[in-house]
Amino acid sequence: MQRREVIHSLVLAVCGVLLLGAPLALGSYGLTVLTEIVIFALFAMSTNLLLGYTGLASLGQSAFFGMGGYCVAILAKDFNLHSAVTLLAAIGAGAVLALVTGPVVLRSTGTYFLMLTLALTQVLFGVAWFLPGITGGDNGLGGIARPTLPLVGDVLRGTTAFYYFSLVCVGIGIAILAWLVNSGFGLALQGVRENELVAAGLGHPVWWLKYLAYIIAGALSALAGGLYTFLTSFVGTSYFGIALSAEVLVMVILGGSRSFWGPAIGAGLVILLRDEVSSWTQRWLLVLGLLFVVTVLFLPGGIATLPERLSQVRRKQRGQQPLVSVAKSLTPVQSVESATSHQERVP
Amino acid sequence: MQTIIGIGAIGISYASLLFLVAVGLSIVFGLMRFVNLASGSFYMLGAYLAISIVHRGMSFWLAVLIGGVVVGLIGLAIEQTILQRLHRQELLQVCLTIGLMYIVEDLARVIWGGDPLRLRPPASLRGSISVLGAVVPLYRVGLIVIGIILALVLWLLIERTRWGAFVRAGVDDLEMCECLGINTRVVFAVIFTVGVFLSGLAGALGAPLLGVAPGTDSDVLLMALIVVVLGGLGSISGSVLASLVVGILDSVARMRWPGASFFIIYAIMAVVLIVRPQGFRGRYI
Amino acid sequence: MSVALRVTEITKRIGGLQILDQVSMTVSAGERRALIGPNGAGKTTLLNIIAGFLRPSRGTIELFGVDVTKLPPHRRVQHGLLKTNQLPGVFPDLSVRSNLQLALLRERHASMGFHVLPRRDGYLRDRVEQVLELWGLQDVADREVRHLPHGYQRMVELAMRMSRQPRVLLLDEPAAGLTEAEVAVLAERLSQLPRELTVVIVEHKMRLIFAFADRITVLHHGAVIAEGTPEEIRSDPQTRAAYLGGAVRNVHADHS
Repeated sequence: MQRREVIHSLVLAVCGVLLLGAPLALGSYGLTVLTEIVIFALFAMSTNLLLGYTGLASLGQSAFFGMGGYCVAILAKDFNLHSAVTLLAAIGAGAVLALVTGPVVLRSTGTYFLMLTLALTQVLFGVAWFLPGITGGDNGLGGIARPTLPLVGDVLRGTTAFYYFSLVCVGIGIAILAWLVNSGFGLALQGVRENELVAAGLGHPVWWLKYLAYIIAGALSALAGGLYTFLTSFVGTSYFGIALSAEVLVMVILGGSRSFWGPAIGAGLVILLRDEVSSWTQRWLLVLGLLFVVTVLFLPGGIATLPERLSQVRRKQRGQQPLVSVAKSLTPVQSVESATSHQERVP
Repeated sequence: MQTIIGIGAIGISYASLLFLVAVGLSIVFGLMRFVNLASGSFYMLGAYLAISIVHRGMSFWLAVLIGGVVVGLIGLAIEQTILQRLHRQELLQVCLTIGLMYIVEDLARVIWGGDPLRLRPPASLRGSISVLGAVVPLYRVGLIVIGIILALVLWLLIERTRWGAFVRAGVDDLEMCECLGINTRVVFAVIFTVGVFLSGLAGALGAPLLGVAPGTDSDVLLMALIVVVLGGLGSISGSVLASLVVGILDSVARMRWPGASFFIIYAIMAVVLIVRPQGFRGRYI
Repeated sequence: MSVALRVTEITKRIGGLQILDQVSMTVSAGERRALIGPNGAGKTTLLNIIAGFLRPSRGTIELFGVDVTKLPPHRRVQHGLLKTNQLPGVFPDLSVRSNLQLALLRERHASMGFHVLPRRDGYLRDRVEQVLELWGLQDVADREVRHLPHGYQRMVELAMRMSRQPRVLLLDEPAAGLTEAEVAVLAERLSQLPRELTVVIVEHKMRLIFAFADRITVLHHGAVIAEGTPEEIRSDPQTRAAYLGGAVRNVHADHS
């Protein structure tokens, strides 16, 4: 165990150094891609707070991503607010959306939750479509300028500057997630994921735990959305499409939902794949689809569990017990809400 | 009056197509507890296949049948090889269907290109007839008839046969079924295959009406999901009811507020889910 | 003698089915009450209602004089009520240690737990070690519970509940799935439970019941048909009839 933690810290440290030094090695294009990876890492990791830790698989996180994006865009275009502080407004918008939709969406679990959250994104899609005066409708809002920072003004125009800015923002987001996940709150979330009824029976306020996780995930997803809008200087209804929702889910599962950094690895993998593969063939979607299917079949814990899986194979060969488990089922073991229906079938 | 008949024809014929996709989705969920997000992809495949077959010179109806059957067989192959390995791991099964979505979408683009394709209705159903003064395309009428027939056939199969009883029991309580010695794996295979076949059939049947293009898979999937959620997962009569509601609402919305029809439908779904999460005919979540 | 648990006229109807019919029960503090009855009698349903996982159609539940009928399950824990399940009520993919941490987390912190760091929290760590030692679970502390044999899982489940020093403990078929040897170990553990602890146990293994229980309540078709000491129940004709089939009179019908 100790050795694993040491290796873990080493790998993290190396990655940190690489990330900090990236602008020295990468050109403008490469840095933009890396910025995108960093932003989506936050998006995926916040989605995983719901999926991997709480056990709620959501196809609706793009609702918050888009909310954050539209928030900064509208503040920039209609209110001429270009300060980076608009990102805080984006976080707020995401949190409010989660606050409002939470009580509705959290009445269900499993597949129903999946579809309710998907419905949420489509409703927002429709709203954005329906109000072109505010949202630009089908065309979206373009020409969003980079945010200005207090005291130093317009420095974020540069690719490198914005990269570091994103790194800082995402870093803060990830630090918050790290704190949450290692705290009693994070442990309680896992309890909810494992067995809601037992968690409730031990004094954990299950619904509130889910609600808070949902709000935090929404807020951080909105932050990612705001950053992405600044990166691409554009936001549109595609932010609310099923494609994006599915893509972030793919990132989480591909990278590994039971690991903290898994989703970040997934984000990097998917974006790099799209970028690299599309340079020598148009068929990057096919490659992604095949890779995803293969991962789901043979490495359901995601890429992040590859080292553990390999050691498991070695352990099996030596006749020892397996150590790792994996998120598999959408239907929770038992849930407080469905306790009634379960009991109804077995009087 | 004429507009009502016109809208009715459009709405109900569309509902037929939706029903075929939704009923597969619904029963598969009711029984196997996961959502086949590749349903739209299978619809798309069915349409593309039918178009290719007709272009080879075969008759329309043969093309439709072959298209559906081929798609069904693909579904069977997937179920036997990949899906079975993930037995009872619903999240992974959903993820699998997402992967399939990507694969099918890209392969379709390679094989059939990116342009929208359409099919002409068969000679027997070309032209239109006059219903109480309204001009209704014959093909739409044909679709409505086909939809009614298939709905009846499915209803009979589910309600009146032993197999249907297995399915209904499985939707109700899967653990009990396994205890009773029913081979759930066979039932799963059959149900999944039939569901996929129906989606492919719907695509082929819909080709003269809606055409097919990259993106059809998402459009169809989203509409089918609404129908399934509204109708109640696992219920055929619910799917019938919901597809009628959605089909007609969609055509009304398209007429009055084109472009916003999508939002309206989804908003209604959201409202229904808030008020009655199990849909029209679903029993419990 | 104070009353730990008072169940008053609990009725539960689902659809057209009458699951429980005016069930009443008064359990004194420190009493060992067994709840028995043929399958389908409603025993687990009653336990779930007492614990708050199901709402009764009618009736009340009182814990030490406090009406908890409207309280959700996680709030009843604060009144000292804890329950085990038919399938071990544990967190399968988490380690034994994490299971205990989750059980003990709410011992001191009623809040969300943002400020608690389980790995660093000295008090929590000590408490977990304490419980591990008490229940002989040190060797498996870092194994995932789902990899443990069934008997161990039961121990973990019991350890989790007992670590919270409950005042009322509901046991739902704790011996289910245990081997004879494991049942003996369970019986031993049960006899070592603090005397002040009130226990309501649902079980089918009669030897365990008759050795452990102070009083027995017999349920049949959702109604109480008999109540008394093990000796009284052993020779009660109603109970015999219920288990062997045959007519049974509702105790309440007698009193009206």
